[in-house]
Amino acid sequence: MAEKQVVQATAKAAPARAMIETEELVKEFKTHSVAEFFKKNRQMLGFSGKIRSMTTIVHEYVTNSLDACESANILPEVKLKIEQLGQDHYKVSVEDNGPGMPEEIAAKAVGQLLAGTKFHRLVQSRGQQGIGASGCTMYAVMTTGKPSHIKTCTTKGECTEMDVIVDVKNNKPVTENVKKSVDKNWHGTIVSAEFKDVQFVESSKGPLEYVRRIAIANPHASFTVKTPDGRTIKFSRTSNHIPLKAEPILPHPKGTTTDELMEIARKTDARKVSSMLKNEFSRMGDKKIEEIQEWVNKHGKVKFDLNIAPDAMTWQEAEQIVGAIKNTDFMAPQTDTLRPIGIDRIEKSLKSIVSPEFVAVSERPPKVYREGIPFQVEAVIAYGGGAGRDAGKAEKDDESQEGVAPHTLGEGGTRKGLELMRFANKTPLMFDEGGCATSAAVKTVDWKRYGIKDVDNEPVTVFVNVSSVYIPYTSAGKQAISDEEEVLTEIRYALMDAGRRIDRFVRGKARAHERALKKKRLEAYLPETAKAIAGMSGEKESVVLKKMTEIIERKFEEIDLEAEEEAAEEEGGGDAE
Amino acid sequence: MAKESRKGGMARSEETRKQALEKLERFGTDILGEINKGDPPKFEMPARTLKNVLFDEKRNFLVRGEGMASRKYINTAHTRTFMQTMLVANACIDYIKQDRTVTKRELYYNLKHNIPSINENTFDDDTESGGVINDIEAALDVVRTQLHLQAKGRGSVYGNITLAQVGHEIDCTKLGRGGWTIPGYVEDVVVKDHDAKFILAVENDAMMSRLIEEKAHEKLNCILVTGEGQFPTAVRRFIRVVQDQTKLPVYAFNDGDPYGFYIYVVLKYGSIELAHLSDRLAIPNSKFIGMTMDDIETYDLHNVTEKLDEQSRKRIRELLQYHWVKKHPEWTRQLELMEKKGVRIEQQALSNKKLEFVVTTYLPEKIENEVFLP
Repeated sequence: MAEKQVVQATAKAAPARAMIETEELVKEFKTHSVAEFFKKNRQMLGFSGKIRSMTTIVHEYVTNSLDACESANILPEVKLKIEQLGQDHYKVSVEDNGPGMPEEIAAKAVGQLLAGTKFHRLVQSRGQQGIGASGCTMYAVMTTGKPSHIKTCTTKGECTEMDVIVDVKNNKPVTENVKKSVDKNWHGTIVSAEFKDVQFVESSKGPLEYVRRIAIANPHASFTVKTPDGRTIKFSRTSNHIPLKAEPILPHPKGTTTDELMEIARKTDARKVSSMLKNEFSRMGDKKIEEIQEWVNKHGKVKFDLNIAPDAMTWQEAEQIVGAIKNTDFMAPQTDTLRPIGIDRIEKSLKSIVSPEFVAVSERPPKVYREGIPFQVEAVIAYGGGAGRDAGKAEKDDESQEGVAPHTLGEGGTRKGLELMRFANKTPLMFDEGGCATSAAVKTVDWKRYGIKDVDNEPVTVFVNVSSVYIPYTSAGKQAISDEEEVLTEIRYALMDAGRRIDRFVRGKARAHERALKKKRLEAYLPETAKAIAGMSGEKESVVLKKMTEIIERKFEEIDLEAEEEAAEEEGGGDAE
Repeated sequence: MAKESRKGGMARSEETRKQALEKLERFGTDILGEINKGDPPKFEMPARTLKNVLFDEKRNFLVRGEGMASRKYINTAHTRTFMQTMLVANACIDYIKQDRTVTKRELYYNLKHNIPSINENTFDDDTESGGVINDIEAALDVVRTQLHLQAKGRGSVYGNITLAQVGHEIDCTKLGRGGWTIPGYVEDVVVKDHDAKFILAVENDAMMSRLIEEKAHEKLNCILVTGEGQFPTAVRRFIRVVQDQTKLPVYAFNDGDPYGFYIYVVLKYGSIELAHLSDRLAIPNSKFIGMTMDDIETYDLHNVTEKLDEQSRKRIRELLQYHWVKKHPEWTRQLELMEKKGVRIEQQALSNKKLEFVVTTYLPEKIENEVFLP
């Protein structure tokens, strides 16, 4: 968990342009009080509103658990339990089977905001709010006055159990009731705390849906949720593949800013600006340093030697370097450090958890945005069965009404609507859907081309995961991806790619329903028709009816056979592509 | 008594009845044959479209072309209609056997019921059954009266003729101020006696009243028939039945406008919709007595013409497209003149002279001098 915490913090130092990072905020408020910082920024940190606060708590705990397990190469088993203690008053606890932590690290994990900071290494990580389990402890103390409780056993069997609060003046954990024990049969961590001003709901923004989604995006993990009303819901593991550890990569020069360069210069161990650039950026070799020097000599507003000491570099000089970088060609950033989920694994887990009738996946390679930041989009479209958001029970007459095609209804004749599952680095984005590039991309796709006539009212689940070392969030709330042109376009292409593959299924399904309806009609008119034909011809009514029924049966067998052959042919064609 | 006379009805009517019954029963056994072969049942009929209409130069009326339309049970667009067709055909067999004639509305109520499995009615309104009747007529080459389906009675007859139907004699001179309403079923109408030189088919029923009041039938020695506007099938069939038995010439007396003209064309050559029945309905040797564009000059009716509206102009151009209209230069001339002058002349415009003018002057002069359009 400690390791994870480190990784988490480093991600914060990404080369942001527009947004104020949590770390910066923390620095700003350090001199006052961490508590004050938390109170003033709770909205931004996900603690706004009862429902969202609850989901944020679950999110912090669950992602901590996943990260802890993965860091130790353990297939995660995460158990979430939510108990209601009173009006807007709940106890939340999360158990994992991770490697556990020694006392000191465990205390920091839940009792110190942003424990340990390094700077300036990019690594793809789950998009934490940046405040972690310690933030939850803060919130618990703020709303109930009670500490967080942690029980953790290391793989060596050393167990620690204690209560933790945050010393808000010094941003340090304060522990109480520390108990030590030995348990050779279990390792992992259980964190629990009581919260007020939170609420458990079973909506698309609630904890259950959050876990369902993170389970889909993390097929190697299994999740168990105990709800306040005593139900147990399990999302099973569908893959035994533990994602490779994300490797930190040096940022690409194209993404840097003057301010950031100054920041690096303050912290670097390098003795010259030239070696600083080489050490701190990717794709920066001697040749590129030469090119930058040449550009500075030729076009620079201030001329200077790149071999000056970093702490001697002025703002104006840093500006010239950024200018030079802008005008220099660099190799594209490496993309092999991206850790997408794997489209086959998403397909499998979607089938298991959503149980739709059809699933179609996109296959798109990694791309780069802002010239320097690699990212990859994975899109999956699920249709029919359990796919789609419930949009209320269909009226009895709906089936016969124009506009409601029967194949667009879900199981048991329920009306269904578009369900959009947005992810950034495998983490569900539950809020701010309207402002997200993924939502925008879904809106601009012409779904009719893919057999989906009315995407808002059909049983469709759209899954989009954007992986990047640096996700361009719209705000510090980290619930929506901004509409960077390259990102938006790539999401669209991925959706269209998957759309082309779902098309055949949807049309096939519509055809099957048409056939069934057709047969129903033919059969409905049979008794009347047979009776009349019998009357006209003198044949027995029962004989005519039997023969006509047989004829229709046979006709439909032929039709079904043809359809199957057709489908088989298409399948073959698809493979050949 | 009534039953007795119905039973003992004319041999003619007995014959058409037998014919229709045989056709209906064969219709049923043919469809059963398809089913016995293991094929989904279907039937064919001549297509009732403008494309599928030809002018038979030899017989001198419109006939159906070779184009066929089919109704297949297996085609869900046809299934409901197919069922309805079977229901109607089967019912007609019963009506013929019972010697009962039913109206379209009665047929609809007789056969309408709920199909529970799809919660639909066999028929939703009587226009649905109307369409099915047209199909059966075309498929079996019969008229609905042969199927013992009655069209609503409209139009009347008056004049020097004595008719018989179901054992009743109708002296058409003794009908007061009105006339005998032509029934929907006229196949069994028999001419007992007549003393007339021609049949005058009158478009407008107000003109009919005028002619009756002026005793046109006595003064001109004729039989007056009106269809009250467009001649219904039963009226056309009635005129044909009477003409077949009396061999009298038929003169049409209509408004001098595209509609009056079209009514005449249909009376003479048959209609597009019922082209397959022309041999039973058309009266190819009929003549057009008026009103014509020339009447406006001859009788100085300039001040009682009406302006031609856009709809009528459109209708003229439509008429001029039909090759069975185009082939008569006299007709073409009238229609072109009408378009050029931009006026129409109604039958009743003649009352501008004197109420009796039509009987004292207009009709006698025309007939005397044979001023007809072909």
